[in-house]
Amino acid sequence: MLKRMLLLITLLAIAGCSGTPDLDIHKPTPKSSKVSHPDQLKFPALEVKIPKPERTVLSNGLITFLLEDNELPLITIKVLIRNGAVQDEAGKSGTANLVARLMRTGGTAKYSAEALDEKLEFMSAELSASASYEDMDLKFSFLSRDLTACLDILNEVLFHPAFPEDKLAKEKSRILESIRRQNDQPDAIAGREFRKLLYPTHPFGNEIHGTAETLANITVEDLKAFHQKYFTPSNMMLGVAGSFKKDSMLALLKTHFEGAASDAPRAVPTPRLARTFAKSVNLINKEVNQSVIQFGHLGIDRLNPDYFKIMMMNAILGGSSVSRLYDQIREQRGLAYGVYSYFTLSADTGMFIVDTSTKNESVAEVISIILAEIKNMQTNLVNEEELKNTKEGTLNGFVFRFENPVRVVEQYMYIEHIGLPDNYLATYRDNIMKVTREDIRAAAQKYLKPDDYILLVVGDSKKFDKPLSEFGPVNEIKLENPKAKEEK
Amino acid sequence: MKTNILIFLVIGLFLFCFGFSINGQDTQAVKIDVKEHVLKNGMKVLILERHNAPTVACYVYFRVGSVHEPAGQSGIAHLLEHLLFKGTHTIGTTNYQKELELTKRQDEIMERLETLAKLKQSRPADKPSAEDMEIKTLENELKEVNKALQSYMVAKEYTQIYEKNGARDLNASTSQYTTNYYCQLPSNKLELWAWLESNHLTNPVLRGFYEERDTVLEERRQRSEDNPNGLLWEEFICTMFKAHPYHRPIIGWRSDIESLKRSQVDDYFKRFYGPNNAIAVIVGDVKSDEVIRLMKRYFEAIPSGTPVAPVTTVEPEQFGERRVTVELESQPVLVIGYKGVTVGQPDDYVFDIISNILSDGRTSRFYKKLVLDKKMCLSIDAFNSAQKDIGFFGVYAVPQAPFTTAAVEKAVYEELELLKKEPVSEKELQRAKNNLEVSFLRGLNSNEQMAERIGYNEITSSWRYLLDWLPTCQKVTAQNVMDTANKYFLPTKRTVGTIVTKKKAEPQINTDEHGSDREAH
Repeated sequence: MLKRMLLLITLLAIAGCSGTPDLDIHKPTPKSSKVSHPDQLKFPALEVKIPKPERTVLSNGLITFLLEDNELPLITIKVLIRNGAVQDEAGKSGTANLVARLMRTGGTAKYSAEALDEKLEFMSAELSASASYEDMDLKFSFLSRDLTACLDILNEVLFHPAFPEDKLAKEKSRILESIRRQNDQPDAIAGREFRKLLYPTHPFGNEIHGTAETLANITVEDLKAFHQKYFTPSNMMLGVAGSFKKDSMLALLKTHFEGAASDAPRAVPTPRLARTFAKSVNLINKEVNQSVIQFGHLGIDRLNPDYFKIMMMNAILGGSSVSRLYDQIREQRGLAYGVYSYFTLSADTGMFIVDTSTKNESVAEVISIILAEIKNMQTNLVNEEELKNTKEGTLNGFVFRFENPVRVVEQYMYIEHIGLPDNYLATYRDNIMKVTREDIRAAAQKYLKPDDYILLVVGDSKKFDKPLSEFGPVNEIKLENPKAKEEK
Repeated sequence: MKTNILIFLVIGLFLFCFGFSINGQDTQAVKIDVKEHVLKNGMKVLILERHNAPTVACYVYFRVGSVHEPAGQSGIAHLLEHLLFKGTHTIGTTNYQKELELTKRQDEIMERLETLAKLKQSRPADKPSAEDMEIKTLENELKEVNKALQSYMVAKEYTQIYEKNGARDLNASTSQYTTNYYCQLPSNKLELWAWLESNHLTNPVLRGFYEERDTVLEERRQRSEDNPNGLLWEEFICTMFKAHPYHRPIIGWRSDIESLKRSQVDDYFKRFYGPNNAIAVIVGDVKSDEVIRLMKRYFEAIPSGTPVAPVTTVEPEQFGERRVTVELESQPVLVIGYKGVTVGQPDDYVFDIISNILSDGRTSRFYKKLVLDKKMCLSIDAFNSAQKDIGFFGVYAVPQAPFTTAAVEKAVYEELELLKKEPVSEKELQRAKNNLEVSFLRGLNSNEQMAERIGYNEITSSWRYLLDWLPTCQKVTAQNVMDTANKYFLPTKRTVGTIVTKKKAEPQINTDEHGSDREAH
């Protein structure tokens, strides 16, 4: 506070010389009290405490993280299951997703589906479960006074789900309806088809919810087998944040979850991607005003040693609303509402993708800008100012990672799950600061491939400014009419 | 009726508390302690301290939105919202004076080119016209002007300053009655926000005007024209409101956006963006006294403008059901609205309860019957869209094949009739009240959500609505629900919109008699 007053007085003194004397520091006019550019503002130091949840491993291998936060009488529990849809058996894609859905909607050994819904909703508790490619999660939020009842429910849902036949049929029919609707939105078409092109043989190319054909192959026995294999204490992490006392919470977790025996080894690793793809230019014709453009190729895995260099490089290229792609395509030319590039981060090789939409008449122009900007990153060093701003932005915004206790717990779970070093957060700042302009160029050269990519455009090709064949031989993809079978 | 949530209220001057008696053992009070201050120029400041993390959410709400747009200028509120990210006299340029001169010439050329284009349109298309020569000359000059302008513009500087200081969620939004600008910052950077936003209010520059107008057209394509749900919504709202300016889409009609001029946007700013029409909402790790000092220092000297005049058009009576369909290459969707509910009126609270009973959670009436039991819908939501002048209660349903929108519509009416005839059970009513209470509680743990609740309520009525909302909802009775259902669920208040699946036109068998030009909408 004292520092701030001194600064103010200094500024006033300077302004005073230019003819606007105003000595009342509590009511100065804007003219007298302001610096001429915000870069000249001095800010008080920010005290950032990185909260650390308490980590305990229960006797059966279940890893727990606890973080107290007594602002509101609420508790959130997050359970991470360390395998996901990648483990779906061949011809049965959609299994992990159905397991997750049925855990929430199918009831348990003790509670029927209807009883579970009634119980949860009268307490206004929210329980959700979902599957992604490499993991699955459950999120449970409730009033702290309902803790005991909710731990009982969580134990039931996690370890004793019922997977009834009729509920499986119901969930399948709902997924089939989503499949029937999968071509309604151009961006949804693009996202799905791009994945298929990039991962023709790897499960990352599958849709998590499966297809009409694979859904037909999945039985209750498949769900039970999947659950038995992956929902073991040693293959899970459980994080709790909210209003509770750590010691009594830990005791309760032991009572409720230590009984579940662990006999399986933890986490089957994600299959490593064996091959690279072939360059291709792809078109899906659709009568729309605006085309969706997806450009990209294989990227990195999350433990890549160049991670920080790649992240800084991507931030400058297309990772934010002050990036080069955003500036060139939106700000300078008004060719798109949004344009972003990103590396997806997974245990196995993820993807690098540039994603944007532009009117049909400027499709080729936008693609050319994307290619030129990527090549520019590989050829020239980024300027000092750009790199400095990117680092500052990342570090100044670091505090937002610790704003919400649930997110804090989730981060610690993720760090351990993915296998990042224990000092990951502590060394984060240094790792960012170390990145040089040369590192950025080297990362661009190594990880961006402007001559070996997959391009997909969903749009009205007769209106394009130039034919897509400018970029290579065009493969036209005809969308199948999703004739999802009616459930009997 | 079993509930052990004990509510007590302490409404002081600006203090609201409610507590939970947790199994009778522990009582925890939750406060909403908003400090209110009005600057001499009429700008209102609302502050809520939350000291959980060293961050702060900063919002400025202007009491102006799409309903205040002059005729023929729909979309101007939203275009201005975009342009305000382009900086000021000092931010976003290397030479403002040079830029100003070039901008004037750019506007003249653009205007002349638009006139010439219209003239040319009236001539036979296949012959060279008298305008061709001038168009060519002007286009060449425009290229030079634009190139020169680009060399002075630093379009991203305003955003860049926020970003490098660690801002998160820097953005803005335009709605019917308000336009708001927001970001989150590390709490030691509050002065940066005050500097930038006061500078903004004093001397904004609408640079990059034509590029941004094009960007908004791309946004329109993405949100409405190529998005079946967006297009349905636009048509539905426009059918429901005939006279009230809610009729117009917030983003604007395409032809209006295309013909908006820089001078018009500038006029709109000058007319409506006085500090007396602005509300600053600051939520986070700050001290109220310091915020007020900062606000005085940076904002108080900005002269006030004219207040925003209220909308005088009253939506006239409706004499029968209204229906609208959009035929698209998309699966069917259904939306139903019952017009009439106004924010803060007794019916508003009853509709919060009704929408909860109908569609909040798996045990709600719509979900249980139409999704789980009859498998008629993939999803169905009831929502209370009460507004400042006149709003509506809506139902949005995604049918599950083989059920049609007609079948779902009939099933929805059956449920609504039930609400008219039979009182809801005490248990259902209590479940709804519990849900509203817990969802209110969940929103309290985020700076952003609190700032939005405070700001939005201040715009529609008063931020104090937040304090009254839950206690008023708690008082809603089964009889209130029945009365409200009987008052509103009538064909004369109803508008129905549907997406009808259009068969894709196959080139070899041309059976599509509807044409394919969707811009005709």
